[in-house]
Amino acid sequence: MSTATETEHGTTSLVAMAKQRPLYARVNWVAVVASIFVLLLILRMIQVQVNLAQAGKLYSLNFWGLQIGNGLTLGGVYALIALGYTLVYGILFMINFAHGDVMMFGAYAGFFVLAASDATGFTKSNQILTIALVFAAGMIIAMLMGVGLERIAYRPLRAAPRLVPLITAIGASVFLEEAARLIFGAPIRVYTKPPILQGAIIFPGGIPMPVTGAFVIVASVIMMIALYWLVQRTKTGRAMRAVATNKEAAALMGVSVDRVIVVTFAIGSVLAGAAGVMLGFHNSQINSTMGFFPGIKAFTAAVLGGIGNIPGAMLGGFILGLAEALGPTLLDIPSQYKDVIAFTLLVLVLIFRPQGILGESLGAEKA
Amino acid sequence: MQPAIRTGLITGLVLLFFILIGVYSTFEALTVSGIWLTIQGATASEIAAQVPTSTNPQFSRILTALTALLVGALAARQTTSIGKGLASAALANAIAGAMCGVFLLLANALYGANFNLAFVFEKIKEPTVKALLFGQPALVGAAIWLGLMTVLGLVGALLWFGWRALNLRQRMARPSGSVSTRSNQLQLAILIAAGLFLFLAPLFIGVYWNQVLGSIGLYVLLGLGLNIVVGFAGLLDLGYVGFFAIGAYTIAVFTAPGYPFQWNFWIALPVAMIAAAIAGALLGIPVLRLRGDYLAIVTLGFGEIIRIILKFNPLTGGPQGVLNVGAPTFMIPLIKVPVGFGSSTPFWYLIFFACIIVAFIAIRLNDSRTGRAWTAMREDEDASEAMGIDTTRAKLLAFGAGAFFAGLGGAIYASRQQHIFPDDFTLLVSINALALIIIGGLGSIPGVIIGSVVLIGLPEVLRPIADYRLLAYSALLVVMMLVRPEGLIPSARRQREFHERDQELEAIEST
Repeated sequence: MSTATETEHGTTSLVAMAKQRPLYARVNWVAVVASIFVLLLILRMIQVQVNLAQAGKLYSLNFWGLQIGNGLTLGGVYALIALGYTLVYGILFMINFAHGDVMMFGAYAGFFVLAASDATGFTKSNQILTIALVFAAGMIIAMLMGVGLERIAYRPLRAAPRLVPLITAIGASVFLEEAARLIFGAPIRVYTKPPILQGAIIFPGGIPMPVTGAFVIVASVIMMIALYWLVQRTKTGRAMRAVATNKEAAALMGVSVDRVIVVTFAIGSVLAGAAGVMLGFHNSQINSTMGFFPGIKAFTAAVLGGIGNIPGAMLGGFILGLAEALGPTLLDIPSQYKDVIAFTLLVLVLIFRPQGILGESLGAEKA
Repeated sequence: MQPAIRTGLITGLVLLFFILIGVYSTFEALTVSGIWLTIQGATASEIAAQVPTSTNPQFSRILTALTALLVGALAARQTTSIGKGLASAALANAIAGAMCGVFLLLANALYGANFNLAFVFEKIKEPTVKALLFGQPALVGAAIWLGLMTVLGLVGALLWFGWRALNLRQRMARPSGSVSTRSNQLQLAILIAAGLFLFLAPLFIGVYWNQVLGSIGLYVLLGLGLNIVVGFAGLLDLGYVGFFAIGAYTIAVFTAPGYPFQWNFWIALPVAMIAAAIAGALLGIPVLRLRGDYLAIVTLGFGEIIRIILKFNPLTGGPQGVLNVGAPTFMIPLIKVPVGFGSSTPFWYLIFFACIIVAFIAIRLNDSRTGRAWTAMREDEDASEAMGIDTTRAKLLAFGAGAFFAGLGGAIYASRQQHIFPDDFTLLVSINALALIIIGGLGSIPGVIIGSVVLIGLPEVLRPIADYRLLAYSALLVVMMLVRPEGLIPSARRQREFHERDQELEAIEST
């Protein structure tokens, strides 16, 4: 490992020497332009607030509380999906584009269990059990999808040039989306919330929050803690970390690399399945394209926090959720543009801190 | 026997997937007479009037039978003796047939118990289940599945053994030696003949095929541009449609009535191309220093974001799009009368020449200093950087060039369609373009042409099943990457790159 680092430093310094150019050429113009852009965004926020204050129409504390609650809810979902990206990336250095679609299948599986339970009247008598069953169905189906995807589409290509698994992953993503559309039909399916998930909680200060929102935040935080414990404290987790650090060395130490990769896909997909069911309960509706944007955004969250880094993915998820919930109000732009916010954030992170908030500086191999 | 059981289970799953996505209910709209009428240029309504709408499941049954034959042959291939081959072919197909039979039995039982299975699986309606059971009582229908599949498996195995016997004799008779110079001349002759045919084609193929030819040509144009980015430089650009859209909307805004410009098409065309190239550079700059995965996901997001911005932006007409985009005009030199591009024939010539020019530029670029830099960078980025190649610059050039040609394609598309809407520019376009260059062969220009003829032309003939297009393309992407990543007509260099590791392994094994 240390020799590798040394050679890396050697190359960088050589390249740096070769790149000794005049000052104007050495300034990172991209960063300068991006900084001006960020400054303009901040000025715009201040301007919006000043205008509102002058008109005496400042948003109430309630409103902000509600928005922050929304942001944290979205953030919890993004964080759960982002964990799947980060786990797989940490081990295979590939983006599993189909991750968002695995989540979508989880949402559908949960939906059918919920619909069956509603139709038989089981929901009314056993609400908590129903919710647990819905989650179990979503997580199991997502896990099967994730593991199957790895087995069919990714494993045979582990030694292939980098472009090949990337193309496979995007193909798999479109395939899953289209398959879901053709199998389950294009129309939106409606999740009916069981009575205990309906309504809103009023926090001190009169800030309301939908019960589903609170539920999503609590459930996602519990899952993240469980995952962190699994990765840091169990034998499987140690094997995962070993494979992420160095596949060959881990294999020599008796870790079954294939098994660890399967477990990684399984864990990531289980979390995605849970996220899909949560999105279903929270938004009340699902369809076959629901995985696309959450997938891209969760990737953004993973990059924001530092890809390959588990606490980073959680942090990134919550930051992104908040940015998306508060951004349109702060900048006073139509809420249809909220997808643009996540994308802009991704580009800005890649300019200023490609290794992410919690990420260490990555070697050439990973960056 | 284990491989046979495995093959059987996989086949069963594939057939069940076919049933679930509705191959057996939708494909019935696909008939031989309908396809023949399509080839003759009939419109959808004319075909509907002439071909009886009665369900005629010939294609789905042919498809199933072919699958069964193929699986029989594959199962037989894994064995050594004829007896074993027949047994494993029969076993594999019996398993697959039994899986389908059991599924249909279950489906039938559920419908019998008043459970609406179509609520879960949209395409499995009660009549479909009945038809799949051959209209027989459920158990008999399932038994037919089992029996028929087994028999077809045996036939497939026999066909395989027969073919192998023939093939062995042929292989012994085949002379060895190279015929490359002759095949080069032949290639050139074919190329010239094809070019002449395409040049004269609009005069005798009719309006409908003229349109189709135009679409194929447009995708060749797109594919050539994307090929520079993905094939030459090895950067996965999934937001290609974004640059296509920028080209289309730029020309629309500069030429359509309702905007203050109303320029001539020929003046607006370079503006559109440059606008797309600038967008490409702006998007590429922050990402190109990082590894390819980031580029892929940033461009994927970009493609959709452009569509959202176009859709909610009053400047570009919102969801209503831009109407009456200007068409190119030509001044006839002596009489000084402008001649508009009224029909699809002049557009075909525009596309045809654009394709030739872009193909020429692409070939020359690939052989240039920049092209060699791309090749080096694609094969090993660190090594190429150490050799003094400015990889950021090379990537940016590739990315910008790709976007530039996408802008050209977009401009011609907008002008040809006259009206453009944000939802013309979905991810589908990017996936189409990507699929066609990968099917044809990354980095190979004849591959791009063959790819677009197959992927854009074929669906025109198979219009009744257009709904399955994207599914088929994405499946093709995955299968091609798994089986033949270099494509149908590979460029020699790419082929070696993709099989470098195989050759290394062979070398290790042989020592």
